[in-house]
Amino acid sequence: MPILLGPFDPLKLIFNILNALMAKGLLSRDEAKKILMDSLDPNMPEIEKDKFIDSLFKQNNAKKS
Amino acid sequence: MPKKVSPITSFQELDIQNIATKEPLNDIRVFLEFCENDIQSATKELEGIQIEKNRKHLQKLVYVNLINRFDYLIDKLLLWFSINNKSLRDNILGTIEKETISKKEVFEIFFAKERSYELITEKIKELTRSNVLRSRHSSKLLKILDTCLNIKDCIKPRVNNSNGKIFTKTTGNKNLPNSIIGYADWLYSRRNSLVHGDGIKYTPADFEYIKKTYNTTNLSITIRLQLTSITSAVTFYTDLLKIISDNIQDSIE
Repeated sequence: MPILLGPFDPLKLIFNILNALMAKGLLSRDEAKKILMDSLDPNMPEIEKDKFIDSLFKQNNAKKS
Repeated sequence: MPKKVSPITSFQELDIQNIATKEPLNDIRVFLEFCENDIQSATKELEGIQIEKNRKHLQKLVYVNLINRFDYLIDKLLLWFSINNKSLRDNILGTIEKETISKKEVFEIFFAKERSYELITEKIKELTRSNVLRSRHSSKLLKILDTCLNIKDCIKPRVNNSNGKIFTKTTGNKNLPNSIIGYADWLYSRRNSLVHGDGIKYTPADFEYIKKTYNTTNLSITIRLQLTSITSAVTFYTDLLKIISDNIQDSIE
C-alpha cells in the first residue's frame, strides 16, 4: 500500500518529475541517481544502494524528440 | 537557470510500474547474480579438481555459503512482507493482540508525526525478527509461499530430486522430500549437518523431523554431498524465486 500525501503518491510524483527532467536533458542519469541515493537509508552499504538504484532504471532506447 | 545537459539519443528512465515491489525483487536479483557469478565460477573451479576427496572440503564451503545466503534472502523477504502483506502482518500482530499500551505511548507515536509510520514499521520488524525469523528455515519459507503468496501446493510433490527443477506436480518420493517446502528443508538440513554436525549424517533432530513431516520413510541417514548437490540447489532456488517474483505483486495489501 503506497503512502499517500493527500490524494498523491509522492514516490510516483518524484519519479515522474525526475523522468521529465531527464527526458528534457535538464538532468543526467547520474545526477538523478545521486538524488535518489542521498535519500536512501544512510545505514545501507553504498554498494547495495548503488545496485538498488540501478535496478530502478529501465532500458529505454527510444530517441528523444 | 540550471545548465542544460546535452540531450542523449537513448536514455534510461525510472521504472514507475511496480515501485512497491522494487525492494524485494532487487534482493532476489542480487541473490541470483550471486548464484550466476560466485557459485557458478566456484563449481567450475571445483570441476577441475578431478579427485572427489581433494575437493570435498571446498564443496562443503560453497554449499554452506549458498544455503546461508538463501536463508538470509528469506529473512529479508519476510521483513518486507511483514509490512506489505496483510495476512502476514495480521499473523504477527496476533502475537501481541492481548498486550496493552499506555496513552502516553500512543500519544508519543502520533506526536512523532511523519516518523510515526517508521516507528510502527520498525516495531513490526522487531516482532518479525523475534518470532518468525527464529523459526525453522522451512517454516519461514512456508510463511512466504502459503501465508503471503497463497501458493497452497507448495507442500505437494513438485520437485525433481535429481536436479532440483520445480514442476507443476510430480509423484511422491519415499526416499527424499520433493515438495517445495520439503526439498528446501532437506537442503537446509544438509547444511545443518555440515555446520553443526559431523558433515556425514543428518543431525538426529533433522533426520526425525524430515522423516516424519514429509513421510520419507526410506530417507538415508547419510547426506552424501556431491558437486551436483550445489548445482541442483541453484536450480531449485532459481525456479522457486521465479515463482515468488511472479506472485509478489498480487500479494501486496
